[in-house]
Amino acid sequence: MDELIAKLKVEIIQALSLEDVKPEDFDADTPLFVEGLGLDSIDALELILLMERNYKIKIEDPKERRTALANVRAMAEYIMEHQNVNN
Amino acid sequence: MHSYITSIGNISPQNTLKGVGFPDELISRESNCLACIEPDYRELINPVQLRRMPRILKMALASSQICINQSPVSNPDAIVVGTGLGCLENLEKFLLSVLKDNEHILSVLPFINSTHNAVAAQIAMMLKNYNYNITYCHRGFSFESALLDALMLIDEKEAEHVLVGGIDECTPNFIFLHNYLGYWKQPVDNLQLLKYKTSGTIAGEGSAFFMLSAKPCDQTYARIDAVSTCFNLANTDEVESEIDTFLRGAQISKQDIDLVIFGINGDIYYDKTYYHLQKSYFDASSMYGYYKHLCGEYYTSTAFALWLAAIIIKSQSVPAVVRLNSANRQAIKRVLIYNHIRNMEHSMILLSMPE
Amino acid sequence: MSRKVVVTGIGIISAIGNNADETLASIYSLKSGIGRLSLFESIHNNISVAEVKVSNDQLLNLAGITTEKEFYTRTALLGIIAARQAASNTEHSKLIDARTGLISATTVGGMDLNEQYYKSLLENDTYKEYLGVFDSADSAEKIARYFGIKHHITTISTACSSSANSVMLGARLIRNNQLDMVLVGGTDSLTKFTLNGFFALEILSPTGCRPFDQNRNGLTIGEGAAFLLLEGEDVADQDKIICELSGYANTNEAFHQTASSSDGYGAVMAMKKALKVSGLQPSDINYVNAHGTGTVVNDLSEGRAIETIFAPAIPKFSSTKSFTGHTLGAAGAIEAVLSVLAIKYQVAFPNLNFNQPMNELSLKPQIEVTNANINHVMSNSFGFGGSNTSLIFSKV
Repeated sequence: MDELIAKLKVEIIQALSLEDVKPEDFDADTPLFVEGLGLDSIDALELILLMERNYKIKIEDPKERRTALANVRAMAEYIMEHQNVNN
Repeated sequence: MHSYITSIGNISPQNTLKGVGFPDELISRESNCLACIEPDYRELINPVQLRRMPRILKMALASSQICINQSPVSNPDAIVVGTGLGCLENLEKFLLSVLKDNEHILSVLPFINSTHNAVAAQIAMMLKNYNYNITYCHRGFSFESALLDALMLIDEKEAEHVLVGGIDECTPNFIFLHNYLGYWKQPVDNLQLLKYKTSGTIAGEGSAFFMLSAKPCDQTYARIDAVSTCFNLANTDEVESEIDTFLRGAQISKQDIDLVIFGINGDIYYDKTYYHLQKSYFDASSMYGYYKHLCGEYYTSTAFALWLAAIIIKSQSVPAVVRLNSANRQAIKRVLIYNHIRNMEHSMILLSMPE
Repeated sequence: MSRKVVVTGIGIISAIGNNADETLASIYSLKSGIGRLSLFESIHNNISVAEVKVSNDQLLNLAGITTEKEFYTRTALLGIIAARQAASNTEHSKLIDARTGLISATTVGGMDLNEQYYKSLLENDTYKEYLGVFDSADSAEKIARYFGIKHHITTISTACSSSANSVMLGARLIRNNQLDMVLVGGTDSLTKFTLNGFFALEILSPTGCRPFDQNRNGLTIGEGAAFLLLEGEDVADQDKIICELSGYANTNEAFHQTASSSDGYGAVMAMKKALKVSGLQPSDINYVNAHGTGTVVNDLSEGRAIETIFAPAIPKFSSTKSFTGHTLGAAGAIEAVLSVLAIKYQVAFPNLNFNQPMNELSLKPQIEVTNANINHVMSNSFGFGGSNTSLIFSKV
């Protein structure tokens, strides 16, 4: 889990061009939207793309998206849950 | 309709970033494309906003911020932008992703950033400006359309101050594709542009923003007296006739023009129009100059020319590198910029010393 | 007293008809132009679009073009057809006068050909002659050359409000006595580029837009073109005057790159200012042709704005995008022409696919063609980048 969280942080920084942010600047439970990293709806679309591209997981339901993308831990948990299902 | 240039921000292939005058050191490159000298954007733009921005948006925000920093006005009454090709790099990026990935898993950011009015929109967001906001996207008329709109806003008393910009970016794909049509020379030293009597020119790019104001102030550069555009003129007779009409409208004669800045770009075919006007139309005692060897050819290059004309009027001196003839005038009170793009879009901008 | 601006010609081509008569016939019979994608291959061919039901070859005929020496994008063809209709009633000599202009608009420009040939062009120069038609200016310059117009030619590109801004600029040029006559409008064709762009934004309705409906699920991309001929009332042929363009305004939301604010303050600013320019009160407006794209965000934002301006007496309103789809750069002009027709025929147009008002608001658009006293019509266009434009047309 920790490894996945670390990997996701790097991927998020890259995908959203968060040039001034380093992985150690936020933790697994830092909110991604509104507060914390302060991402917006366009970033949300990019994160959904990241899940599809890097983890082959499509999150279509808006409610599921909100919970799955709340913070890095939630993303990691969603990946672990759904990758197992796919396997 | 007239207005005053009260501040400028110019990002160009020359050292125009820092000073308010002509750069001491000129940039000379062997290239068929002159790229801009860019600032450290973090000094001018909030780093949080910078992250998603393509290069052209950074250039626009930085140059408009430089312009505003110089101006007593922190939030203009209108923002008007001209761009010939818009956010070209992102348009190419999204287009290629659609074509190459066969429409699968596409990132939305380049699409959003490819809309032509992204520049004007981002400036409005940066300034929290809720006022009139327009983008003109019409080849060699883009910047002139923006100027005309700004002059009209001031004349209508809808605005006291208008932020007007001309911006275009150059991309490797654009250079590559237009090579097919013989647009470019082989890589040449830009400062020696007129030495090569060949077809083609060198590409360029730039972002120049101006605060146009209804009234002059201490730091005013120049007055913009008139702007005009004409399309698809058949021959030099028609060009002369259009310039006649333009000058008549401004109530001045050819002799009154102290400096004519031509859009000469080194292409021996298209430059014929300018050389004809020098030889047979304009007054031999007028000073002649050119500018595209400094910034390259692009649709909104007249924004660079406007910067040049403005600093010439303010300093009352024409840099040697700009000069085409040895005529001299006691004072540089009136400057005419005449440019055409491939004999299709012709434009004229008349400036004068502020009272 | 500033110069009155009047409309003396209109032209329109969209998914519901190739001219004004066909357009009206479709609206009266509640026939939407939304349907299946047929113009090009796409993995999104299950998403409804609103195509002009004419092939490019047929468009060439309609535009009266016989030369094979030049390349015409679909965008340019649509524009020429609409511009020709708008100018059809006018002497050619007036059109080529120095005090005549052409203000066009587009978002995609020649992308319909660009996307066809771009990959090939990166590999070899077989299709190099097409390079000249890809950009935004091409369609306007083709129209200008068709008529012989030489001055005051430009193209505006402000996303969905583009051609509404063309109309506004034209009006200002006449009011300020810069011009006596001006062709204003816009054109956009359906492209893979925009279809994919809006798909990536996740704001496309799979089955067709449902403006202002609680269950709306996105917009439907359309294509088309429209032009209006504007003149100073003092120089216009009185017999040709259809209506007056009495108000206009453009403001910027400065909120977000693509979304409008939830309380609709951007839209409110634009509508308020247009009313001020026209000298009218909200209660004078008899019909609002809304932007009404059918997206969750826009319709709520716009709905709130309509309530803010007009409550308690909300005028008849509808989004005709339920007929034409969202024609992007052409939308402002297409809906301006529809607003002019509303005045000409004294009718408020319906909003298709509406069943249930939004939970947050009690607004109900017109669902039937309604004959009424239509003295003043407001037409709204709110675009990406926060560009908000409102136009007001008035009966003379």
